[in-house]
Amino acid sequence: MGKMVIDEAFLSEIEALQTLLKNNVAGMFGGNHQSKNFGSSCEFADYRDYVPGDDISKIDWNVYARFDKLYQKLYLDERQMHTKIYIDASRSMQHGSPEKADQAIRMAAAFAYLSVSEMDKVSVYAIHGDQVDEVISGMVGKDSYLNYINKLNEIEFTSDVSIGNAILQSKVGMGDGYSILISDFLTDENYESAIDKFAEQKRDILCVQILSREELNPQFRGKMHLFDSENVSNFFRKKIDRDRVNAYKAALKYVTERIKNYCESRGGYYMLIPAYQKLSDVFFGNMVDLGVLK
Amino acid sequence: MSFTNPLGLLGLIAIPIIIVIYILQSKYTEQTVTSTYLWQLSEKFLKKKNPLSGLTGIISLILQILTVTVVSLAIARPVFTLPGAANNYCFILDASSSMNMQEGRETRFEKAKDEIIDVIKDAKSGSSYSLICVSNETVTVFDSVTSKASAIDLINSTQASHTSAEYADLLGAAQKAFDKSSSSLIYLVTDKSYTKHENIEIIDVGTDDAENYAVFDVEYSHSGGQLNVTAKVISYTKAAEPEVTLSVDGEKVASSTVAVNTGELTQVSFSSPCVRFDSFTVEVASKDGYLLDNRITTYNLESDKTYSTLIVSETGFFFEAVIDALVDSEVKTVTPEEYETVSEKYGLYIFDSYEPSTLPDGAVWLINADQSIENSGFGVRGKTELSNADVIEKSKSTATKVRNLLRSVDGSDIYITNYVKYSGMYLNFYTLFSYDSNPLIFAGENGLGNRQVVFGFDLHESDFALSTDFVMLLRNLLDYSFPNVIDKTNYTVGEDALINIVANAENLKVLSPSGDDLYIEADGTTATLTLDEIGTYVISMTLAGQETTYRIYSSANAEESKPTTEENEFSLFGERTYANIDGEYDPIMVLFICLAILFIADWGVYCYEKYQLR
Repeated sequence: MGKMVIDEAFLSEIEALQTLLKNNVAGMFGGNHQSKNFGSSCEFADYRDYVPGDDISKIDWNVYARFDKLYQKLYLDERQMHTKIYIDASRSMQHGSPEKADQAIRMAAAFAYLSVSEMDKVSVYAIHGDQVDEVISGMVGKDSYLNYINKLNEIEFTSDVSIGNAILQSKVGMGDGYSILISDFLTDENYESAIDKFAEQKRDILCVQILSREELNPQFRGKMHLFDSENVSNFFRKKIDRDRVNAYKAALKYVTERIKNYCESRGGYYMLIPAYQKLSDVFFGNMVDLGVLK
Repeated sequence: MSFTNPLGLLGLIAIPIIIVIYILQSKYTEQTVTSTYLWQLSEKFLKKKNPLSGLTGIISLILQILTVTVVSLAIARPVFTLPGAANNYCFILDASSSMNMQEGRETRFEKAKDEIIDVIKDAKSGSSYSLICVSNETVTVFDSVTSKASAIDLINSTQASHTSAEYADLLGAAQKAFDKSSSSLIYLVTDKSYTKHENIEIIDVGTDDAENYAVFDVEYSHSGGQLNVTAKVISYTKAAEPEVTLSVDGEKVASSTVAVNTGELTQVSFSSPCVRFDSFTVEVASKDGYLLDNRITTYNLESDKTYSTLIVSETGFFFEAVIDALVDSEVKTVTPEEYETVSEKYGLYIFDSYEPSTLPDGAVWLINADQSIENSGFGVRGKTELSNADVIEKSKSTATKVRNLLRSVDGSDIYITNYVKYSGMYLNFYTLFSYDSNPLIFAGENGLGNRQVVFGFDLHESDFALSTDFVMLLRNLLDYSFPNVIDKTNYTVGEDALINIVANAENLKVLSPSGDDLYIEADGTTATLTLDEIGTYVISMTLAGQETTYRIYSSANAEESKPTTEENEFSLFGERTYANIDGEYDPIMVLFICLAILFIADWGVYCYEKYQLR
């Protein structure tokens, strides 16, 4: 059963986000991947509003005559990048309030929008079990984005997932853009092999860990029998008190640090995003701080 | 240890219930989480475990059990016995009128009560308390009460009297209490000065600086439309010039500023035009600490007297003329035939040569009664005609009643020509005149309890009605038939007032100065009213169908007016013993403190467990 995360309200939010991004940051991955910017090739790609300081030779005067408003013509660079977004579609992503899956889809859609805005090609994948299922393939331009992005609602978060095995068996591409992996990473499964594969393939890496409020700060106390949502045979039966919660938070810190360090050691980025965090806060807070957005 | 309310221990039943709840609550709560990975991993990061963490459950259980135990004990009210720690306290409280003296914000009596209450509050639990109030009578208010609260409540409910307390009464009450238990702590609380006190503690609540004026010895004369009043005024503590006023029938008619020396009676006189008055009051207008002795009211005895007389006679002019002349009376004369239709009630019925079928309810004079009448108290043997007029004989009895009835009667020769022989007379009849040992004029109470006078001859056939003795005798007989309800109107508190129960008197009521309706016990034709309040007593009764009131004034006792008294020695005879009684320790406060601590501790454990506060 699909989710209805991508809807009119969300797209409006994305539009607003785009406007803010224009005024405040240079763009996604700005400065690091000049080749992904709109270039000076002859292939027309899109229009955007004219901003003082733009090259006036690229103003489309015919459009100006028709709409009495200045638009800048954009051209595809010859080195078009391919952003690949991988979403962990495991059952555990359905937990939390709001669900982590919702935040994962919203993050994926936002990343996709930023990429198509820069005329990159975008593909989105859902990881089910040991395989990577293509949800959106080779999406280019905003029209295409608007046509296909709703497919993210169809992703079902019902399976057990092995990120490492799934990525290893898939074609991740060769050095032509970002590979964004969105998951809660709450497993001791070997996801490092996936990161290693991205690195081997010269892909730029961004790992986004989404955790729910309860995972970040557990509230229950007392004698608890906790069942694992993905594997009922896994359970934890202890009295949860302050010391136990502190140990839990230490374990959480250890896990997040390990992923972060691993990503950074492979030249990638890592972000921890709470499931309840607003999209604008993610982009203007976490991503700017991290240097993903500049 | 004993329990005041052992049923409170039933609360301990809650302990097994708490244990059962604790066991049931110890179950693990099941919950599904995203992943147990982090929880499993937390084992590696678990620092040295807080030893309290594992014990919070059992600590909470122990605290709850202790709480229930303490609550049960608090309800059961355990009392521990402390051997020899308590005492018997006996308070002899002077409740005389002087204790009403105001000193500062409170009266001496209120101060005395506060002193006693302070002693009780400081006493060891388990002590017993007795209170004896001494005024004109000695009253044990409570005896061997062990509850402080009850004792204090009873003390607060006591009031000082208006009467005086004798030194001997106080001493007697204290000695009696000491004799009863020589180990008792006896306190005498009084405003009187006592210098020496063995075996007794004196609490003196009097001071020397209480200011007091008083009025005594009010006398008056009323003649010629002028009311002349004299009174004596005293200031006990300082020379002063108090204002003294005279009010007649509630209206102030004169005032005078009197210079009085300390402790000296000073006479003050008033003269005011007055045709008639019901009462007058002499009062010291200046305020002082003891207001009860500042005024004396005198009531006019004569103003309350009312006569109503019915004469049943064919020729009643004799009596009508004489009664009119002697007293202010309503007199009505009817013929025997008309008498049958009379429905009104009268104070006195005079039957002249006529015998009613039944005696009326009222004083009765039977003149020349030659037929027996039911309840009349005598029988008729017949009428005797004398051949020659002969003299009747005046009684030589020395009985007080006879002397009173024959007051001012000379006993000059009275001739009769016939008389009625009577027999079977009641023993209470007094013969005033007789002929040949036959009673001719006699008085007493008839079978209906009314005063009755009998003339055994026809006044028309005697010269008696023409003599001065007739007038004097009728005057005496009228006084006898219409006795004063009260003989005087001014008394001193503590005295007994005599009330004459006159014929036809019904609904006798007495209203005290404090507004209480008093019940007085009548003994035949008189009743005694003990005056134990200062002020006006209102005596009311229905006489011949009319509501009639009489007032008497009870004034303060001069001894009680003195703010200070001469010093007396006060000692109790006997050897004091020290056999203290067992005291009690009521740990209720400790239990409450424990309870509060347990609640706080339990709450702390709960918070620690629930919110993990440190």
